[in-house]
Amino acid sequence: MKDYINNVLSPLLQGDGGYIEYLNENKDEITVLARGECSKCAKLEKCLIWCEDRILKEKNRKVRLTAIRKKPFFWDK
Amino acid sequence: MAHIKVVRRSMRPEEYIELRYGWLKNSIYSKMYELSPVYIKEAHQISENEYEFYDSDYRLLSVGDTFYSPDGSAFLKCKCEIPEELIGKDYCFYFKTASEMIVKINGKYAGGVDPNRERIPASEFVTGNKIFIETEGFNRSKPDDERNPETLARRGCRQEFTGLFLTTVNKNIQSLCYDLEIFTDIISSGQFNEEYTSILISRLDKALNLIDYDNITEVDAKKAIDYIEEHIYADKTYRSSGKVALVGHSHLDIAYYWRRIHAVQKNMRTVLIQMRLMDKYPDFRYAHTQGYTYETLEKYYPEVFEELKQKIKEGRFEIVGAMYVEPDCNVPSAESLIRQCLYGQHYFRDKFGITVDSCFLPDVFGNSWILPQILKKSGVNYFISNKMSTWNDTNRFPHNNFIWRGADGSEVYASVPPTHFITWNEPSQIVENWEAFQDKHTDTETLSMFGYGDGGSGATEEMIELMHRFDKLSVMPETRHITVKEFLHDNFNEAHHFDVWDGELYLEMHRGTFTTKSDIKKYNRRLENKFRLCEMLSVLRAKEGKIYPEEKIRELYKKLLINQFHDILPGSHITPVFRDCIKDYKEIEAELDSIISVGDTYFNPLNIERQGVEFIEDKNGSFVREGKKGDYRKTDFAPLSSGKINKDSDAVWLSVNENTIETPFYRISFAEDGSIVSLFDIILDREFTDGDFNKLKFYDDRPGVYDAWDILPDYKNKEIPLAVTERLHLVFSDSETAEFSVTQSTEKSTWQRKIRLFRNSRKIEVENIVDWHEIHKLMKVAFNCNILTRELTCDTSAGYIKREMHRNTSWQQARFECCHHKWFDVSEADAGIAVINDCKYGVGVSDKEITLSLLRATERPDPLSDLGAHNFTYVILPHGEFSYGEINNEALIFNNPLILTDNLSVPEEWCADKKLILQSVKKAEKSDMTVLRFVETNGSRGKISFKNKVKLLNMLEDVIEETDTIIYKPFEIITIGTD
Repeated sequence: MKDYINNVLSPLLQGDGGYIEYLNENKDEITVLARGECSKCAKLEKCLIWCEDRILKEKNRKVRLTAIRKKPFFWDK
Repeated sequence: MAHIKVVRRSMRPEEYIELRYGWLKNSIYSKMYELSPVYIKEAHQISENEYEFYDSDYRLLSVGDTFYSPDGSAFLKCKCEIPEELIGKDYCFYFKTASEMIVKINGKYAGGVDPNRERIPASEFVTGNKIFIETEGFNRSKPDDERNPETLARRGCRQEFTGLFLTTVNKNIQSLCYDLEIFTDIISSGQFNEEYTSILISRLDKALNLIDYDNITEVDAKKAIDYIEEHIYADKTYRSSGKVALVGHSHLDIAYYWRRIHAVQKNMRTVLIQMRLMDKYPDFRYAHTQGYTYETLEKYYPEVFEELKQKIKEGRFEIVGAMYVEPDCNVPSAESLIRQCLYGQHYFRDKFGITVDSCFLPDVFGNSWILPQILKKSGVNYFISNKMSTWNDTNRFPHNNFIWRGADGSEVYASVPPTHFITWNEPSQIVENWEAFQDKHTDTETLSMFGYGDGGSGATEEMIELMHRFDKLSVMPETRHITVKEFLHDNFNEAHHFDVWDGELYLEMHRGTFTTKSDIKKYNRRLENKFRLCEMLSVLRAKEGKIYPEEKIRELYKKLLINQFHDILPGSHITPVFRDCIKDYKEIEAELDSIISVGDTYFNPLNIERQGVEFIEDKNGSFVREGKKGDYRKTDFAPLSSGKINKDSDAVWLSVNENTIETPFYRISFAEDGSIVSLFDIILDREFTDGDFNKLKFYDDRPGVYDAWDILPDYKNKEIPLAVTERLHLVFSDSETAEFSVTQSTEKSTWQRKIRLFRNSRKIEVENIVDWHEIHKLMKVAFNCNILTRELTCDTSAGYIKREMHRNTSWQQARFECCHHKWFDVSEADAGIAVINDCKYGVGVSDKEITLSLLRATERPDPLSDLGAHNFTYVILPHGEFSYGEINNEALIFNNPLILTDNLSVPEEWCADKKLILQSVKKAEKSDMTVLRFVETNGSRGKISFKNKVKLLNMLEDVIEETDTIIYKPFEIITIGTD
């Protein structure tokens, strides 16, 4: 799952200037770190639902993704 | 008694005008007819117009559904009947979206919708009662223009579908809204006469009172329009001055927050939208740059390209900017900038029969002093760039319309428009432009560009409608909507007296772009040199009957040039752009290597004598340099020929006493971190250091939102100590070389330096092997030299530029970090120190401390920027009485190693003048002539005499004259053709 998130899903988000990185998982709850554009995106939750759908389709696993946002210092107001 | 500020809390008249303007905007469209069923197919784009689809077939898309995906594309289609009420009417297609869509109606390219435009005239594409909509869409989380608040609110990878519609426009209400856009801008901007503004508010209020807002009708809107005509436009009591040229343009970044593959559609959408505007507004003119974008249109949308050719022929769609892309103009070499012009101009000549006489670089981060000569010799007389006027952080650039004089004395007319290259054509923006125009005494027009940009899209209906009203407004400067060519030719001529700017066009911002994305800069430098080699060897082999791989070299060169785009090479882009770039470089290098191939004879590819010490690859060698085994050997090579590599006899030449080392040239005292405490030159009998020297300096680097772009002057305020994890020690020495190693570290990164001293060379070579895992950090290496000088001399790649090192005025203070190429030097009359690099461009100056910028760690736009392994080398070269040409020769040798090749015989004229550097040898683009390009790098005059007549060429390879003698001046680049 770490590999799939970091090397398949994250490059897609990087295409929009975003970035997610696998942090940990507890049963079906997976936590990711959201940086770049993702760190301040109003649509991030919807985007994570899309990622969950991809994981279900590609990895046949139902998971819930939660993001910890880490804004660059200049956006962290 | 305390002062109590009087605050008006009730609604002001101007606020009431704004409110009513909003109500009117909501009434622009009559009834909305939803088109259904809409089907969607979503995809991820993997190459130019190539997709991986998430679903095998289209699925139904309903209003309220979420669509688009990260880095996603979407294709919509809808086939349905036209509502009966619309048949025979002038209706349009309506879709409000944050994405960028190319729209086809009944099989024809009808236009585009995007965050800046929501409708397309549709009825003209429909003959029967059926409509078939097809859209090709691309969604970015970062919109084209972040200043558009509506767009910002909707940004994100996932979008909500709000439906496709047909509707008709209430033309009077729409027209009134355009009037109100003008007047509300005038009222709110504060740029206009106060008296006029108060009268305007009063009269506008009266006009708007003619409308019943419970039932807004076309009839009432017409009454308001008539009132405005009679009482506002007709009143010429208040008059402005000034002359402003309005030029339609859209800035298109080939890659930035999107990849090059996406720019194909961005460009197509932009071109299509502008052509459709021309269909509606016959007077509309639009200027578009970059040969590459025309090429992609030709390749992927040939039908639209054919239409474009016609618009170009009619003079309505204007090609501007002679270059192949809008490159960075700091880091690319002179030859690269020449090729930008060569390939750009030849494409425009081949396809449109046009030689473009302007260089159009609105967004480029400063411009090298070598550019005027390159432009002038590439058929370009005019230069346009907005950046210095609108982005300088310290000094106001003092000119807008002027003459720019280059390093060699070549001059071009230059326009640095006073305002941004992206404007909405609002009255306040035009007045602001005129007010800021600093060359009013020239009695010329100032240039104002309008159109959305960065990601393309360009002008809108509204911008043109506003422009059509400017003539009626006496408070506006006199405006002309013209082409760029008209602006340049009408204003820049001998009838006007222009001031001269003699020097580089340094941008007082984006100083980090000389350093960010180290790998890209390293590849770019190496490949620039490999292209020279590849072309030269191919010419020599062609003389022996082999085929010159012309098409292949041109294709590869263009790929290099694309990656010199001003958001690629400078490093200001997202992660996938970096990956694309490195992939391109690897492909280019593999292809070049296969053309260059390998033989068994060492050959000096430079037309300079080569007598020194060089690293020679050898599987059994004792040293590892940049991952390759080999040894340092004495070399003796005549220009462009094979020669000798010698191993010196064993002898004691090195003395090591703890950290004090003595060589035949120096007595050096090192600190344990590898910095040099004392560098005493035994031959010259002098000390070269005066403070930190060859010392790594690690800084906190937080320039803010322009993270990848900027280094701020306050970086020096927070230096972070580096730990020494492996003290300097001698690793190995042989008869020629002594290698020392030292490793320093931060909490996250390690930095090893291999310092090499030589028996037969003055060079001190420092190889850096870095594992870099930082964020918001900058690593520099400092050189405090025992040299009394006020000037830092920097290589420009075609000569040098001298920059003041003192901080007397704000101009020097602002130039604390600047771009150089292969070397910089500080010298007194009889001695000095040069530092030569293989891929570093940023050099910092702070009084007597000079720093070479080595690595940055930025987060935006790429959170992974510069992380990982790096390997690069610089050379410290203390010297006696050296000419700059000699230093340049050393730097050329350092950057162009000896090659192993077949036996080659070089024509005599290639070595016609020992003082000139043979910058390039190639086959001519349009004939079998051999093109030779020489450059003067020492700042000297001279004469070349050839045995037989040669053709003197311009940089487009046009023959100027036939001659056997060429007189050259300092820093001149000379191109000749031989049979």
